[in-house]
Parts: sequence; C-alpha cells; structure tokens
Amino acid sequence: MELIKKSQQKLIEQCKKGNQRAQYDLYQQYADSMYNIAHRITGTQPDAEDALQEAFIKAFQKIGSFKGESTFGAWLKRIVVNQCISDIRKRKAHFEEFGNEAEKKLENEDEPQISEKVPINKVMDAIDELPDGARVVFTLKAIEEYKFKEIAEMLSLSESNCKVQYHRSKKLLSKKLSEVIEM
Amino acid sequence: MKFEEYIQKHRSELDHRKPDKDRIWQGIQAASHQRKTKRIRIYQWSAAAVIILLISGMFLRQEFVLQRQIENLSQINSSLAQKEQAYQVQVNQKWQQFQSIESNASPIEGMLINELKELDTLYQEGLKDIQKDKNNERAIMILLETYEKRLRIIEKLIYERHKQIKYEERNPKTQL
Repeated sequence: MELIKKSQQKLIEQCKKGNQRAQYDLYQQYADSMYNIAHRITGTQPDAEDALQEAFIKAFQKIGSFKGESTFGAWLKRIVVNQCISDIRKRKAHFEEFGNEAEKKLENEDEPQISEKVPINKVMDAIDELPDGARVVFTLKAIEEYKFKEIAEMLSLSESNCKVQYHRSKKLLSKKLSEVIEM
Repeated sequence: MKFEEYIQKHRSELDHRKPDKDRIWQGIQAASHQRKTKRIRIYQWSAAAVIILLISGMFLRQEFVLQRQIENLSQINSSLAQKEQAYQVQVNQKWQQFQSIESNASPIEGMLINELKELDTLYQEGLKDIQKDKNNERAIMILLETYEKRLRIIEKLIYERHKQIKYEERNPKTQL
C-alpha cells in the first residue's frame, strides 16, 4: 500500500513537471471511477465524457496547487463534480428552490424505502432519469457521501433546500422502483 | 430498506460503466496542446510587444533629446553645418564691414535693422519646425534663405551708409 502511495506521489510530481506519460498513467488510474461519478451526476454518456475530459484538462493545469492535504482521488473527484455541476448549469438546468416550511414537513413524512430485490442496474437507470436537481443531490449525498453543507456550497443552495431535494429524490426513486418490482 | 443501506450494500457494483478512454484522452491531449500553443503564442507576442516598445521608446527618447538640442542647422548634419558656417562667416564679415563705416544713420537704416530682427524671428520659428521633424526640408531651406536675406540686407545697409556719406559730403551744412 505504501509502495502504491509512493509511486502515485512520484507520478503526481512528474505531472507537475508536465510529463505527458505520467499524465496518461494517472488518467488511466482514475478515468473509470471518475467517469462513473460524472455519469451519475450528469445522467448521460456524452455529458459525462465531456465533463470528464474537461475535468482532467483542468486537473493537469491545476496540479501544481495539489499539496496532498487530501488524497489525489478526493481532489480530482471534487474537480469532476464541480465540472459536472457547471455543465448542468450551462444547460440552464433548474435547481428547484424549497423553503424552510418544506423542510419542516419532512419531519412528518415517512422515510422512502427501496426493496432489496431491485437490481442495481435498475436503480442506476432510475437515478439517471431523475430531474437534474434531484439527481445531483441524491448522487452527491447517497453515493458520493458529501455532507449537506458541502452540497449546499457546491450548488449555491441552502442546506435545508438540499435536504428537501434529497428526500424528494428518494421518494421519486422509491415510487419508480416499486413499479419495477410490480412488473 | 433505506436507500443509504441499499447503496452501501451495492457500492462495489456502482462503477459498472466504461468510458471510451482513448477518445477522451485524445481530447485531453488536443486541448492541452492547443492551450500550450496558445500560451506560447501569447508569450511570444508579449515579448515582441515589449521589445518593440523598448526600441520605440529608446528611438523616441533619442529623437526627442536630439531635437530639443537643435539650436542651429549645424546640429542636423555635416553638410548643413558647412553651409551654415560659411553663411555665418559671410554675415559676420559683412556686419563688421557695415559697423566699421562711420556715418550718421540714413532714414532707411532703422527699417533694414528691423528686417534683420524679423529674420532672427523667422530663423527661430524655422528651428521649432525642425525640432518637430529634423528632416523638414522646407524649414531647412527657409533657414538657409534667412542667411541669404541677411547678407542682402547688410549689403543694403552698407550701401545706405555709403550713400549717406556721399550725401553728407555734398551737403556739409546739414550735419548739425
């Protein structure tokens, strides 16, 4: 494990010097996982590929500012996520606003559930089909495990808004996936 | 079951999609190369602009200093220096000749002296034009002409002095 870490540090150092071979190796290491994150956030293959490409270009440009305070993966993931959000905003996607009252109502609502029987591919397809706001918040919270505070900052929304959006996304998924089971 | 639990249970299966890595890498390389070339071009243009500005600045400064220092034609080039020097020698000689003639001033003398003063003013104005553009041939020609006119006026002055002397010789009574 230590050996892998050292070899990755070496790769990063070489990337900082503009070594294209090192950039390619680093790209190969992270492309798959970052692509999947991008796909979950953007919801489509072309958008995910565009976001991934732009994110890697930015990452190689900014790699000099990577000081190792987090893992390289976490640093890169943040760039990918920001790129996806930026791309979605460029498409003029609408992130719905919910007031504090909507958050209070959540307290009285049941937690949305999912059947264990639902295949994961069906869940992923259902996530892709969610409205932009719901899909982004669900992905960032449930899959990428960001805190609501971080998500709110990334999306320039209030925390309560993100919580309502998250709950709404689970409700939408629950409804859609219950139909899958019934079929 | 809760969604969070479901996701945790299936976490290892989440990254099932495969991107077209080669195509995306080509895009990354192309964009990086394009930006690098653009950056190099910007540096090259910036460097060229700085050099041009420096050279222009030095040239303009030199021209400015040179032009500010021009007080006569001899500072422009050696040919003009020779011409002007020759004129100056002639003018000085004529002027000394004029001054050596002892006589009462003729009525016309004051007018001719004023003409000489006007030529001095014309010379100074011509110098100002040359300070703006040292290759202003018209101004150079005018300056040289002022010397010619000076010579003719001084000759007239000499002539007038001689005329006055003759007049005084013919009419000694008028000398009071």
